Amino acid sequence: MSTPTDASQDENTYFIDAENAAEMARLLMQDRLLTKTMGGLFPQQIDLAHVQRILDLACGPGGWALDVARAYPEKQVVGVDVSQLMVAYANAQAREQKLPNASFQTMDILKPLAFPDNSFDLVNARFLTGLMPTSAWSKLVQECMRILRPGGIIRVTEFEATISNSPSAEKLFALSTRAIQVTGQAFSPGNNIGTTAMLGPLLRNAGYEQVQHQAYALDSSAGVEAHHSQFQNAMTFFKLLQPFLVKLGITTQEEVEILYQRAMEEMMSTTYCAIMFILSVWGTKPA
Amino acid sequence: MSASNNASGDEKAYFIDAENVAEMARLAMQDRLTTKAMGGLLPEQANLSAIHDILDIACGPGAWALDMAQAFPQKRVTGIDISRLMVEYAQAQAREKDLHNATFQVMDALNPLEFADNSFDLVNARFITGFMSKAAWPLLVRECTRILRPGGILRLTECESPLTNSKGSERMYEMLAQALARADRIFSVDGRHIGITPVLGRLLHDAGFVAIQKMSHVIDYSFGTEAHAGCYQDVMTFLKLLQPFFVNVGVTTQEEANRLYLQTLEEMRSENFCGIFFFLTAWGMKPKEA
Repeated sequence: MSTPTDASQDENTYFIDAENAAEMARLLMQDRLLTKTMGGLFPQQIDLAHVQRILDLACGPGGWALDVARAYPEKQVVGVDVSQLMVAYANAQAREQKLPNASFQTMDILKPLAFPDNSFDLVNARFLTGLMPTSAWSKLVQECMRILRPGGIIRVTEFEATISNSPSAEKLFALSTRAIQVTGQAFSPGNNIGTTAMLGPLLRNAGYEQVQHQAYALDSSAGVEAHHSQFQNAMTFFKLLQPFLVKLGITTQEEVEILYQRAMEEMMSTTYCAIMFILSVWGTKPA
Repeated sequence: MSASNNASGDEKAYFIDAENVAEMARLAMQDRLTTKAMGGLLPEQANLSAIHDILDIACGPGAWALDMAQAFPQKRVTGIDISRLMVEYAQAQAREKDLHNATFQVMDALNPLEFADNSFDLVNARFITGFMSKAAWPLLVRECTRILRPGGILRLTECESPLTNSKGSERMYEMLAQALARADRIFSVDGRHIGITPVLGRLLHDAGFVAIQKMSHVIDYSFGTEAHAGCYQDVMTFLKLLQPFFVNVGVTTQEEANRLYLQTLEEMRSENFCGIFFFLTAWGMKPKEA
C-alpha cells in the first residue's frame, strides 16, 4: 500500500509520504515477501478461467500487478495508486518488461473509483490498513461491487501487528498500533488493529457471496528465510513512521529514536522471534 | 487442552479446574471447531504411511485422538491428560465406538513422560499454553525428542488471543494475557499478546528438530458465521471458568470480572459482532541419524 497525499484529507491520516523513494523500495520488497508467504498470486481456490480483467487497488510500485501480468499474458491488469512516483515507476517497469497487458494510473481509492460499472472480473487489495479510515471500508467494497461484473471476485488481504519476543520492538509495534487507533483506522477497541476480524463481515454485509478466507503467517524470526528482508522492511518503515508518531503526540523524537535503535538491535539478535498473521478474504458478486 | 492441577505446582498456575464437567464439554466442542478450521486432523502432513504410533499430549476429553483412531484404524493412538475425569470420558468413548486402537491414561505433561525412548512416530499437542510455564516448554519439547523415533514428528498448535470489535472481549483477553504473564505462562514481553506463536519454531529448533515448518489457521466467529454459536458457548464457559484465575493473580476484581463477562457476552450476541482468532501449527522432525 501507499498512502494518500491528497491535501483535502485530514493531515493526521498521512502515514508515510507516498512519494518517498525509500518507501517505494520497501513496498517492492514487501510485495515479493507477501506473495511468497501467501504461496502465490491468488488463492488456489479461486478459478481464474473466467477472469480477464484484474484491478489492483493501492498497487504501490506495482509488484503484484506486474507479477500477475507476467504470469498471465492473456489477462489485463490495471493498478491504481495515489502516488505519482509509484505509478510512474510501475508504468516504466511494464514497458521495460514488455508487459503490454499491465497499465497503471493515479487514483485515490478513498474517492469513487473512475471505472465504469461491470468492468472487472477480479479486484485485489493488499494491506490497505494505514490509509483507510474505518468508515471508508464499506464504501470501497461497495464501489468494487459496482465495477465488478456479476460473478466477479473481490479479494482483500490485511494484517495484524507483528508479535515478537523483543521488548523494544514490541513497544514500537504498540506505538504503530496506537497511531492506527488515534487516526481512526483501527477496528479493535482494545490493543489491536482488528482489520482482519471485520473483513468477512464486511464482504458479507456488502452482499458478496461464497465468502471464504485463508490465513497466513509471516515468520521473520532470526534464522528463517524472511528474517533479512523483514528486518530491512522494518528498518525503513519505522524510520519513515517516526515523524508521524511524533506529530500525533504519542511519543517524542528522542524517545522514538532510542526505541528504534534498540528495536533494530534486538531484531538482529540470534534469539529474535516474530510472527505476523495475515488474512485473505474473498467473495463473489452475485450473478 | 486441560490444565494442570498438579499439587506440586504453583497454586497460582491453575488456569481452570481440570476436573470440571463444563470445561470438558467446552474442550470437546473446541476440538471439533479447531479440527474443522484446520481442514482436518493432520492437514499439513503429506505422508502418513510412516506414522504408526501417535501420542496426543493434554488430550482433554480425547476428541482429536478418537477422531484419529477412527480415521486410521491401523494406527495406534494414545492420549494423556492430567484430568482423571477427561481420561475416563475418553476411554468410555473409545469403548463405545469400538476403537481398540485408542488408549488414554492420566499423566502430567509437566513431569517426565512415562514412555520409553523411541516409542512414537508423531506427538501432537494443541493449546497447552494454559498450563505451560516458560521454563516447562523446552523440557517438554526435549521429552518429546526422547520418546519420538528418529524421523518422528512433533507438532505444536497454539493460538494468540482473539481479535474482535467488542470492548468487553478485548479487555478480557488483555486481562488474560496479563494474568498469564504474571503466572509466567507466556512469552509476551509486555502482556499485550500471549506471544507463544512467534517462539514455537524456535522451541523446536533449540531441541534439535529439523525441517521445521509452520502453517496458520483462522476461525471467523463473527455474528452470522457457522462458528459463532459454538464459539459463543466456548467463550461463555471459558471466561466464566477463568474468573478465579484472574482474581487469584490480581488482574481484576470479582466484580469487574462479572461485569466484563456480561458485557462480552452481550456484545458477542450483537449482529455487528466481528471476531476472529489465528492459530499456528509448527512441526519438525527428529533427525533420522542421532
